[in-house]
Amino acid sequence: MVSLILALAQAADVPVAVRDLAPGTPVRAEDLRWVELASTHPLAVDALDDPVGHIVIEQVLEGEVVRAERLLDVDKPERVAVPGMRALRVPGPLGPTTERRADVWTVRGDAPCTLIQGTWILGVGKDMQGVPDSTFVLVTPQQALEVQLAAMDQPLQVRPVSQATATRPRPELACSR
Amino acid sequence: MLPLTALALAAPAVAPMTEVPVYTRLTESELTLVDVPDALDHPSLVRSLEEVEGLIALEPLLPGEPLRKERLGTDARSTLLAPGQDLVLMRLMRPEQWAPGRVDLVALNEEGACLLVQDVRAHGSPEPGILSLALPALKAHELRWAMTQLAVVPLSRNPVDRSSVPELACGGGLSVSAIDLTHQVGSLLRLGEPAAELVVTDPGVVVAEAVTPTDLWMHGRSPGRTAAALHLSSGPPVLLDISVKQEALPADTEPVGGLLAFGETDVVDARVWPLEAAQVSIENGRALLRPRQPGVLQVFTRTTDGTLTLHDLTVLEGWPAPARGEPVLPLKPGKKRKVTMPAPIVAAWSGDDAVASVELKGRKARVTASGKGTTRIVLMDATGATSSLRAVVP
Repeated sequence: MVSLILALAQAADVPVAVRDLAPGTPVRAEDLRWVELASTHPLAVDALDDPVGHIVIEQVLEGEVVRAERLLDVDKPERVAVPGMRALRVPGPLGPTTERRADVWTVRGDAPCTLIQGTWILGVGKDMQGVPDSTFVLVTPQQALEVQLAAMDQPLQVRPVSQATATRPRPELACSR
Repeated sequence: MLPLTALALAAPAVAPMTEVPVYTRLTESELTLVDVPDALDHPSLVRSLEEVEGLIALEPLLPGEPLRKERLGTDARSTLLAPGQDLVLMRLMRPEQWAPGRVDLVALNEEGACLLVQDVRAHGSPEPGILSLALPALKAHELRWAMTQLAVVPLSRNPVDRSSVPELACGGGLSVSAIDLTHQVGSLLRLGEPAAELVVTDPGVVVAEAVTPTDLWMHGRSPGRTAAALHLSSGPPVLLDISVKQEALPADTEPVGGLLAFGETDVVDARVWPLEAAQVSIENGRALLRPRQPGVLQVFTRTTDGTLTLHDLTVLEGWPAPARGEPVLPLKPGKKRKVTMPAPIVAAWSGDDAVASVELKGRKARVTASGKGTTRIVLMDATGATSSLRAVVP
């Protein structure tokens, strides 16, 4: 009876890894084969419709169905800095925003100024209760050192900026070195 | 409509009922059996609940996902650490939660910031404000020291990016001394100042004991490589990069049940390693060794003038055939025989009183057979010279 019900169900193509996919790598079409399952099968329900282009967070083993949980999750962005770059955790949640870029601010003397302008927002860091407590931004290793050093003296703040603002040089806001 | 061939099922496989966090030990109560379509069958799928009981998840396990053996480990050490690595728990400045991944470690002080260690495997936060890190053993010792001197903060990096930035690396660092040891024997390490503490990463590879405040006796317990941090009475620790190699056995031999009197006189301290390998005692200023089990051992002696000496010895399972010229004293059970030396004998010892005992009578030693077997009798004259003979009770 169960087989009959399954047979009557709609088919679903499920992506399966043809090789081990390591964390940090993007999924390519040639990394996948497609297996037809009943759309009600638990493995089909949890599979991602099209994982091509997504970045692997947890290793996907050869022969496994590619599931969304093992791919980039915006709540765990600290793990996917672009190669050569770093993900800097700045204390303080970002708050609701649709912007994808931000400035990192501090205070020099009595004047606020920017340490980094127009960097990419990678996502939020959370405390042990899962409450957002920080913001991850993309920085170079050199910027990371400068910002960490500045944070020893003054608190930092991440302020979202529009794409147009992010790409425009604003030397008047930059902290003097 | 789905073709019926797509419904063919392989043998059921084990799957978690809920998400299992990484490094969690599995219990049967959180697992179930799920049907696996034939097209998704794989040789490393786990087929029975008994197979995984007590194993550790090396990666997060997803509900309903057929469990693969590659995702499971057997013990905490092999799960968390690659060979030669050590675990460091780093206290964060804030009670943050960190997910497993890879990080650089930034050292901060008034003079600036630099990358103390680059590309370190992070195991995440076992509790708020703690980050668990796996580093090469030497680096782990260096990090522990740095954390007592500087602010150290983690910096996330891409998990597949193995590159480093040498121009941002912290300069200096602790001095490292390489030490090569031989399996089952060791060496003495003389220090410029008293040692306060020695922290060895893997005591299964090397163990150490202080024989004086400024002398460490290091033993190669098993072949391999490990690191240690030697904390002196002041200043930063010295790091030790220790290799234990399997090399040729020591040429000096003595069988179990034998007796060896070492050449040094005025001995005030003598120890053997491994401890259970032999009995060592000091009598009449001489260090005497009675081997108890076959293998390699090492004896340390210290004399009144402070001289430290090491002796390496291979303990044989049985007595070899007598060498040319080696004196052998045949004894009948319960009988005595006298041994006369050119000079007066001042001390005499038996390796095993259960085989033969010895007592002094002026220039002579009287050897009495106690039971069947073979042992060594050592005689010492007034000049400190020793000679030995083999007592055999058939």
